[in-house]
Amino acid sequence: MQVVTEKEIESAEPGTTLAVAPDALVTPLAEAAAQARNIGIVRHGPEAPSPTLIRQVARQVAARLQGAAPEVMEAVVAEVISALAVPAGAGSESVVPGVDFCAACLEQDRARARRRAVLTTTGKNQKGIAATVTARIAELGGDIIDISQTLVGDYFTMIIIVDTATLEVPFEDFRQAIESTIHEMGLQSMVMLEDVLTSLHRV
Amino acid sequence: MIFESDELRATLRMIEAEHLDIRAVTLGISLRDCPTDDLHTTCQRVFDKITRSGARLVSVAKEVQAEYGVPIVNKRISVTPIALIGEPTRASSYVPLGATLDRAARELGVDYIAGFSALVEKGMTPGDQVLIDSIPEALSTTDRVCSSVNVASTRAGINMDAIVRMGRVIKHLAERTADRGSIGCAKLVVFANIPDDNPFVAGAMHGLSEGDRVINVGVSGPGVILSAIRRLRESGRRIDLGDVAETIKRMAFKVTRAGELIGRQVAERLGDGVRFGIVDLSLAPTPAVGDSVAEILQALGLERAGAPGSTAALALITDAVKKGGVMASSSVGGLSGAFIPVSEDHAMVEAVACGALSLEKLEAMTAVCSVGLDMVAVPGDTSAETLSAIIADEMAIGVVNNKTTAVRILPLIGKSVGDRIHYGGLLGEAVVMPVSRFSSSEFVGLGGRIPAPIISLRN
Repeated sequence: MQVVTEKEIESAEPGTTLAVAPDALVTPLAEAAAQARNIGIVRHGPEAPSPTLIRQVARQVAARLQGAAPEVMEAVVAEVISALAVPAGAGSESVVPGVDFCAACLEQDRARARRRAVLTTTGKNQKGIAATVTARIAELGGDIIDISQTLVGDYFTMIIIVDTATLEVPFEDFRQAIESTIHEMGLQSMVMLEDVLTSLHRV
Repeated sequence: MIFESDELRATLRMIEAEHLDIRAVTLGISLRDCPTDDLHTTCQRVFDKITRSGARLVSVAKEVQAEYGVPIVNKRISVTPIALIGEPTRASSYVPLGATLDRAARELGVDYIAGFSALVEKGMTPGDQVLIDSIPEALSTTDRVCSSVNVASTRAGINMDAIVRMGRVIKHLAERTADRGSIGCAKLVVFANIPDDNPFVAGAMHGLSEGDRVINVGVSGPGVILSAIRRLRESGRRIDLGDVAETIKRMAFKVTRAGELIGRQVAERLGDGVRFGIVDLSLAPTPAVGDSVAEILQALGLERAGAPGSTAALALITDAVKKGGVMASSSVGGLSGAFIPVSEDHAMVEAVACGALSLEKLEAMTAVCSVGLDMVAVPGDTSAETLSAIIADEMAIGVVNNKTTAVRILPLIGKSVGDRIHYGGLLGEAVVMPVSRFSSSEFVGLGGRIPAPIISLRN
């Protein structure tokens, strides 16, 4: 695997582009140097199938060929991947993913999908808090798994657990969007991945 | 599973108000596939291995930090002891290897890289000697390289010859960096029973028993424990030391859990064969107010760190931290205890300045906590023999008690007792402590090796 360091960037003319292998690693210093010298880093060459692509194909194949032997699934995935990723004429043997690799990709995918977020809203009570917050979650593609809301005197507290697998935006953007919605109503909020809370508080 | 609102509040409070953070995520990289018989080629291979393994470390750590909301303060690299990597070259100096480490660390955007190290607790090979002799130049001409030398172990005893050398090396290094407050010495640690998997720089290294690439995590959390103790004491209930231990255990549990979660995430996302190693659950202070081990001692009712009772209080804290951490994770390792680096802890600095904490009391305290005499400033005219004798004392505590101890001592050239030097950043501020004026040079000069201690008949 190619590693692009500051030295490679320095040997390129400012304002030009530097062609690197598709899976090349670019060090943080090289990235900063490229930016400072206005050098574009372009990845090119025979495209190796990305894990995302393999995952997508494997998922589709597994869904359509339920109960088929692993060898069959492996062969189908390999055929689809090589048709999609490798330009005609290039050797395809080296890039065909095995069944173990597909299974690992799927498992990783499932683990990410199991992730849930905890969202709290607290502050002075007013009309429509739950409606506004839940509407915003739905807009962003989140699915509410659990919700609890109490009122102590005039103090509003709501805890919502959201399934983040169906989010249409990255988690970071989801958090910012929800937090700004809640702050606009003059309330406090916290959005946190459930993992943090379970690991801190549950034995 | 719905959470209780006090659990949510507690989490938020720990992160926002009590400095719960991951102090260090350290990528340990084995360089055992790098040695050749040519120094230049070896340097090239070391540079390639480190940059290839660590290219994504900083970006992955930032990604995990953003997603989980738990700050990761330092991203660092540790490598196989360089004495082993340099030896086949038969070079007369390993300074080029030090420069290579520095260049690789700069390339990866990490502030420290540790492992310019040698393990000489029993004897020294030519490579070990070259490494030790290269330390003053290597550390004074680089910014990011940290060095450690293990001079003693419970199994091998104490290598006095190595300690004599280290006394001179420290003195020499202090002189070479005199214009920068002898800062070179802040990057050099002398160890007894060095751990293989310590994520905390400057004493980190990637031990010989480790895998190819490993993520080790150092959690911090003095702030979390300090405010838990304050809350306990302000609760109005009658409390005793048993309650204090219980509270510390609970908080250490949470802090360790957070560390393991983050470490496993970083290792998983780095992928490509990188394994998760250990969580080191040391209480590591920073110069920030409220993030201090000495303040914990004060919260327990000691007027200043170093007052009589400090050793007992520290023993309680260290033990409770370990018990909570071990319950939380099966991957506890490294140093795991409480650090009492003087310059890095503002309340320790104050304790030294007002005369509450002496070098001798500090040494006693190190018998019950990790790590040892850490970031201790002494007068610049302290002799190399006295430095060696101070190291030997600290090593004896580690060897006999079967624990890790270390010395990171700064003879501040041109400074005398009470003078201060401000380093800034995590290194904080050092106050020069008085050193015994009686000589040990004849004892140190005897050299040789103090035999390994007996493990039974423990009194």
